[in-house]
Amino acid sequence: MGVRLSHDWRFWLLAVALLALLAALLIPRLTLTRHARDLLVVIDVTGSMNVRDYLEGGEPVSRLTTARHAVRRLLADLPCQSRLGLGIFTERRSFLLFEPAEVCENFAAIDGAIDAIDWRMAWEGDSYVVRGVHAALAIAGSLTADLVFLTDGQEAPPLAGGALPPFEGEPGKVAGLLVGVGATEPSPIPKYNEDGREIGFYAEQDVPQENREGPPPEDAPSRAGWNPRNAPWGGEPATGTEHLSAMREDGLRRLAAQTGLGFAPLRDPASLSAAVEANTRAHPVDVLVDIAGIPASLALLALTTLFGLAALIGHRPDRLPA
Amino acid sequence: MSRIIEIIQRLVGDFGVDRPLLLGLAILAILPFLATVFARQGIPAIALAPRDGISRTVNLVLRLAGSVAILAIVLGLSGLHRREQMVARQGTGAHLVLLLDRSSSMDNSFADRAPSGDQEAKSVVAKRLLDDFVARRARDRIGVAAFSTSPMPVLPLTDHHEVVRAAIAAIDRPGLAFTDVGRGLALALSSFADDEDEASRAILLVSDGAALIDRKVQEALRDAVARTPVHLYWLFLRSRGAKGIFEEPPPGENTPQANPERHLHLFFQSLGVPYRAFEATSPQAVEQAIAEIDRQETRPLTYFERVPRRDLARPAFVVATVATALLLLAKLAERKLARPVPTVAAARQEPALRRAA
Amino acid sequence: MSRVDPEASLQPLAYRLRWRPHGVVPGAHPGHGEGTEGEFRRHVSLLRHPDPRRLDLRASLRDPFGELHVRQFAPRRAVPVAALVDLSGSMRFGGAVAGRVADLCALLAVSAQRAGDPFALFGADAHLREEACLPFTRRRGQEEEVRRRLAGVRPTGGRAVEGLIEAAERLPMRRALVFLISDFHMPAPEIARLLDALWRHDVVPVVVEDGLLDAALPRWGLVEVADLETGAVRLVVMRPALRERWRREANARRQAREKLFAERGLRPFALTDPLDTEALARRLMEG
Repeated sequence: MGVRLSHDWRFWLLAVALLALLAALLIPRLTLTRHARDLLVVIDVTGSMNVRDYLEGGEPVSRLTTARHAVRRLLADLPCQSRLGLGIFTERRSFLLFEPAEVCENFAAIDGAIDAIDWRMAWEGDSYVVRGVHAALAIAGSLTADLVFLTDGQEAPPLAGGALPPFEGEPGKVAGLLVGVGATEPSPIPKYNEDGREIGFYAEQDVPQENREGPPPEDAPSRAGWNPRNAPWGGEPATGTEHLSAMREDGLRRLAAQTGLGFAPLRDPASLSAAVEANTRAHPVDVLVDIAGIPASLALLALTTLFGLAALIGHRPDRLPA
Repeated sequence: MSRIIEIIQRLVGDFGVDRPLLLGLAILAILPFLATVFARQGIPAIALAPRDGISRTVNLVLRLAGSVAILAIVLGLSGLHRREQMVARQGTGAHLVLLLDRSSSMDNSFADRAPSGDQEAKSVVAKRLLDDFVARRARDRIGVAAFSTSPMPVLPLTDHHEVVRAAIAAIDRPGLAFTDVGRGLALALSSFADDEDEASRAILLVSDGAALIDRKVQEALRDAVARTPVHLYWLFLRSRGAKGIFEEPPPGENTPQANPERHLHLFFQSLGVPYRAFEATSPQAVEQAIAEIDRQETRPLTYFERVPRRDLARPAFVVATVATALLLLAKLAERKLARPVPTVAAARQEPALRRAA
Repeated sequence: MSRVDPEASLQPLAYRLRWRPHGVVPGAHPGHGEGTEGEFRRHVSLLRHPDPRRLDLRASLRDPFGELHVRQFAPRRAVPVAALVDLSGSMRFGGAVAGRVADLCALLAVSAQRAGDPFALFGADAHLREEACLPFTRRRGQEEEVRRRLAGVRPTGGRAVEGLIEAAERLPMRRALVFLISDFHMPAPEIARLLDALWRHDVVPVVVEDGLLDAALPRWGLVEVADLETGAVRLVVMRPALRERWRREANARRQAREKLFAERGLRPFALTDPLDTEALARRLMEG
């Protein structure tokens, strides 16, 4: 005759463990919906991005380095089946390096590509940020991706009369985010020679302080040495602080409002993911999630209880059933 | 703690877990050596039960089964998997850097006009054919660099061709003004800097024109090529009216300024590495040239085939199930040490009989 | 034969001794020396035993030589009866102590009381267990106390040899009838040592049989057994061959034990479950 199993808790715990394990094996994977994103990340590589106004580990690092770190963090944070494409901005256009590609499968390559972005990729010292953003929006629109544009907003030369060039696209059609890179206090811009060596900082006269294309501003006649034909912008060279660079938050906010993008200043590299999440569109993708762990945990609990309890009570000879 | 985990991870080599902290629960696997699934039954002296090899073996097996069940569940819960592995295989292929011209002239057709109708832009043709080319060369490691006004590293050498094709897909986007071949080539060469493989290395330059390479850059290129020998292919997308690179120009015009493509060709020839140029004047010619490169770059290559990550949680749960089923079978086979003897009942009635007698 | 109902009055059993007790306390057993009353032993010449009150006329008349015969008697003496109970953990098996051991001791107590012998109970594991001890007494109704004490005691702990030797030291100096109640699962040298400590006395080894273990072992199945004294665990995969081996080994152990007893001239009594009163009566009458 067998031991009366129905009175033996050990039997029941074993039975529970076995049933739970069978459940873990037979339970179907749940189809969950995750939020993937298709992003086009465009990084400003113009000269002002070399300004070292971030601190990382106590060392001053350039805006470009911080932007790169931020985008790499973003890449790591994106859920699988998200796609990310990369472009750079310099002069007046955004240049697409590669179209959005799946982030998990191609992680190493995309990560390497982001890390390789360098100011030397810039082909002209000018920096028409507004036009760059407009161009990037066009590219993003054609790729049906959301735009993440990292820039310090430094226009070189400055916008004529401070007015934004008109946006030809439809504001808000392409969702996305302007990310203001840099500190709000102006800092000098490092200057490099042809071989890429740093040779000091830009001085006041090295950079155009005023945009002298198009019609002169309305206050021009009041300037010294003004002459409507020979010196429509005044006789003196323009002065200003364009050789110093700060993140132009006002300008970027206006641009964001014009194009229907969000705006977020980049305080530290880790903050980018949250801002991107808030300002870009997620599209649901189905992922299979294995929930076998839940019944398996139950099985583990049952087995642990079984052996643990048995070990606790089984060692006193005077308690043994005789 | 993390150090211990690191050591464990080194020990298990190809295997990994997603939640290493859960591995701490593995200590529970000693419990089956402290207790069993059976209800212990007292016996006056252990020596009464005969020593028996089979019993000892079964005992060990059952204790191991308990231990294995717990261990397998813990491993399954912590997300045991075999890591994605690179299996070295011999095949044919190359490490290849695509050096793509992104100058705006690429956006014109071979007739050097804005593309219209069946006249595709050179960049579109290049994009389509390069995409096919990459699709055929599954075993290559491919990197991408672009150049125009300045050289731009696009992708490091990678086995993941999806992103390579995404980069090729970007080449028909509006380009920039100039064509800085020299620095582009230097950048492409530098892509091999971290590549320590013994594989065949090749650079495929796709451009529709050339510019002067200044002396400094020429010297730098000669140095770089000497350090990193590569096979060089130039797919020259020759527009109608442009000068060919194989034709000897009339004497007076044979200057680098007047005929940069021809002189770039001569410069490449002088580098002392295997070099082939293909002059393509039509999409069909481009296709032939690419097919030819495809044939050429078939040297033996140790390539790495990716064996994708394999989740072992389910197999672990299967093991745990089998072990637990074994324990349950053993539990079902448990017996009382002594069956109740039926004579007791009979004996109980005897005093009554005696009294009656 | 059956578990004796504690409410029912016990039927006392008579017991004989194969020896003549010393001592002065009058009792029921033919003792040493000569007495004027008691059990008739023989006729002796009046000249040898000049006690004309005991003159046996009939025997004297029958004597062809006309010698006068005097009846000689053995004095009836009491003999101390003691039950030494092993209370080691192993005695817990099958509830032996509270069951048949208690039955046996109660029966012995009532029998001794009827025979006028003092009865004492000593329970011991590694040491003497005072709560399971009763001093020599002839009091009536002691059997209830004996049963109560044994039912209340929980056998635990290790080998009882030391405790039982302690008990042996408490026995009277003169020869007593000692029932040594144990399962005798201790090693042979230990048993020998215990028996040697009881050399002075008439020892009846009462072997608490674990008959169930021999008769009722399962043919097939897994059994995890644990030593009631040491807690040592062993898994046994029961199968007919092993069951045979188990029984063979049990027999071998029993024979070794019998041999040990036989060497000392002891005749053990097997305490079955339940107590076989008739067998006990037979055994007691054999002396």
